[in-house]
Amino acid sequence: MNEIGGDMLRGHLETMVLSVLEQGEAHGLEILRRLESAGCGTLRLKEGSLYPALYRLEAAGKIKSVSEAQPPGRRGAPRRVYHLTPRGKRQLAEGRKQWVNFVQIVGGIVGAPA
Amino acid sequence: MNDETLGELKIVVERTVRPLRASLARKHRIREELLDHLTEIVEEEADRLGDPQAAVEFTVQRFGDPEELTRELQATVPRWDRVRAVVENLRVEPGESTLHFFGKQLIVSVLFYGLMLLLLLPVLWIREPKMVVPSIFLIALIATLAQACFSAPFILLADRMGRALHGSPSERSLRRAVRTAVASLGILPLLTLIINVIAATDTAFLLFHLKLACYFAPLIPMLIVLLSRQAAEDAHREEEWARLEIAE
Repeated sequence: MNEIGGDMLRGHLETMVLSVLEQGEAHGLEILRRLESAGCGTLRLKEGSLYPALYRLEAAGKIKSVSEAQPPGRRGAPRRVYHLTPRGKRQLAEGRKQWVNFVQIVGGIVGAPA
Repeated sequence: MNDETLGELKIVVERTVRPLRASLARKHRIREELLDHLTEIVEEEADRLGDPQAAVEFTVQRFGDPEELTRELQATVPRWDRVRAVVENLRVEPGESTLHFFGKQLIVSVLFYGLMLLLLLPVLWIREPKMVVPSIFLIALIATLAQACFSAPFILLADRMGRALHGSPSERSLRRAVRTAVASLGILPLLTLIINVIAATDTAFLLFHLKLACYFAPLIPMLIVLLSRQAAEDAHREEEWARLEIAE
């Protein structure tokens, strides 16, 4: 299967993040793991790029984060865990509708209807 | 993970975060989050590859270009947070001399009150032309007094108190904390005295105002002690990150 990366991925990253957070709260790396797992290893995202997307979503009130202490025996800063807000859930529903619409229209244009 | 590997990861984080125009709190949060992320990947990769150095290189590659990430992160910093960052520059920087600190305060106050004056002058010019010159003097006076007798000493003494009570072992000193507290007792009476002398109030009023200032004077050291812990933690954290050599 071809890899998906760059702009193609970046344009839909926020909706994808909301979607994986629907499964339950998660910290940054866990969000990436869920995305990779859902994409069957085809998603090629520079990992740092996830954080600007998370901060945008948080500033827009679509997700919230809390700081949690590290598990015992692990060094490092407190870990930040993100969860979906009601506004984020509404945004996710809207994002899904837009995606279906996009696929139908663009699929029709390029001759590969969904 | 050993300290050397952690140090390498901190440098990667700092290359991304240091150029950001954002408040200390926001930078701190980003640093913690990125470092936690990188630490976990390195641990994973070291287990998989069996070579810690290769794990660091692979992790850095997975993480992406720091410059590009800085640009992306900068776009998420709200305008109010950038203003906060400017205000935070008024704090005592690590290793900054008292003279440099007061010089910086003076320049900022001149710029700030100069801007206020520019905004006020057209209104005065139209409504009270005779008040233009006295207003310039009045605002310049307020600026100098507020900055020289209150804001600057307050920030400086809070920093000194933070170091004396919560700083590194070499900085901690109860004697220095007491000296700082005693010095801060003088802020309100001194400010009151100067204002009254300039306003040429009579002796009875001057004494009354001084009595009032002395009554409230202990509030200043109390406030400084309260703020000092946070100030010391911020300063210590910033110094630790500022020490990292991030040039490639």
